[in-house]
Amino acid sequence: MKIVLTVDRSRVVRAVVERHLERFACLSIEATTADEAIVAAREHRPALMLVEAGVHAVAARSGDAAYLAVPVVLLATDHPASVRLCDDASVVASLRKPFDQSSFDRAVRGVLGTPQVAAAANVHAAQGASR
Amino acid sequence: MSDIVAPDATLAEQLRRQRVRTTLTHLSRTGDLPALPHAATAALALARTPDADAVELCNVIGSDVGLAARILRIANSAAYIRRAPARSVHDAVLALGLRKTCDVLVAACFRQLYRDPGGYAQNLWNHALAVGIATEELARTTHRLDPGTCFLPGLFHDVGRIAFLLADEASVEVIQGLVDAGAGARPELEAEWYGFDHAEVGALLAADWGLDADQCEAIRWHHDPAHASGGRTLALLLSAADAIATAIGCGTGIERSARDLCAELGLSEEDETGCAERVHAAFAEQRELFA
Repeated sequence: MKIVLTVDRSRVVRAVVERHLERFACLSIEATTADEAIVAAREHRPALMLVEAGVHAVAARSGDAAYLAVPVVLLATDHPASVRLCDDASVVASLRKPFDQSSFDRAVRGVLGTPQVAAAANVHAAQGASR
Repeated sequence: MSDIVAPDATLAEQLRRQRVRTTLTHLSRTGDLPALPHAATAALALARTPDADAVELCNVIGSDVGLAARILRIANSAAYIRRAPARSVHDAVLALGLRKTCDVLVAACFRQLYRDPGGYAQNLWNHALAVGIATEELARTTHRLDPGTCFLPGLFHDVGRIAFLLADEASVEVIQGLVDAGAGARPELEAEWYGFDHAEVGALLAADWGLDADQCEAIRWHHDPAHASGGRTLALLLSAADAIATAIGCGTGIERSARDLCAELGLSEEDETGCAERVHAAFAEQRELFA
């Protein structure tokens, strides 16, 4: 089963992403900071990461190979800095918060395929998972 | 719709309203914000007109056969009947009075927004109606404001929540789950996701629908009355009404107790208990009328 890592400081954003991921056959894990995201990327080798734009900027600057190898859907705002990050090589799509289910599906389907009805099992990253 | 703002409104405030509007229309399947039927907005306009007369209101009601039947039924209910039963819309308007007829008409139209299947919309409707009744009752008990001006702000105070529900049901359920789990207060959780909370949306919609600036400001700050620059007394009444609605079993989560808020309004425990009992009785009657 594919692992999806969600990285955002907002518990609401993480919970909404987890809710939308229920329709995909995947395992959902979470982190809240760049450091936690890098550790989770190394340990779990996720198929996809959904990452808050500001956190991605910090994590990508680290140059960590494991983090940079994972495709990223940017959880963005309309801030210009957020828009610029969309050009990063690992960014496959961008979602402007708040987003709806259909926008979410479009952003992740390139990696996760079409959504399914079956609920995904969910676990949380051992390091720093925070709900 | 573009926002008509007071001359002293800051550019930041205008941009903020535009952001609320854009975000909700973007999320909404229909691309629209919740709207009141024409009869309700016409009644609200009449309620603001000093020399409005019963004939004009009868014409508004008469334009909708279903609405006319509902107004007659309400005028002849135990809650409102005076002497002889009303046989025409004109009789009904005379029995209820112009302002109360407008309130009833708007409430009947507003009810349509809560027809979404599922218990959540029904709970929100019960809460809206209870807070409308409680706000009017608190105004009467405290003599702080004209009770006749208080029902609609109470009814509309949480309209932002139905706007969120209609536009973005999945996220509303997620936020409700977090509130239930004690992860935070609803306004702050909503602000994390949308960038604004339901009170801000409610104020914007209430302005669209014709409530005056103080009433909109009171709705905007009903969770934090001290921040209201205008309509602070009404904001405090809304906040206390919210708590009383919770006390009678029509609540959806509050930050302060009814006792604290009623004490701030100068009400004794006995006053508060009496007020809650009257609200409970009126709610039981009116819930059936708007079912």
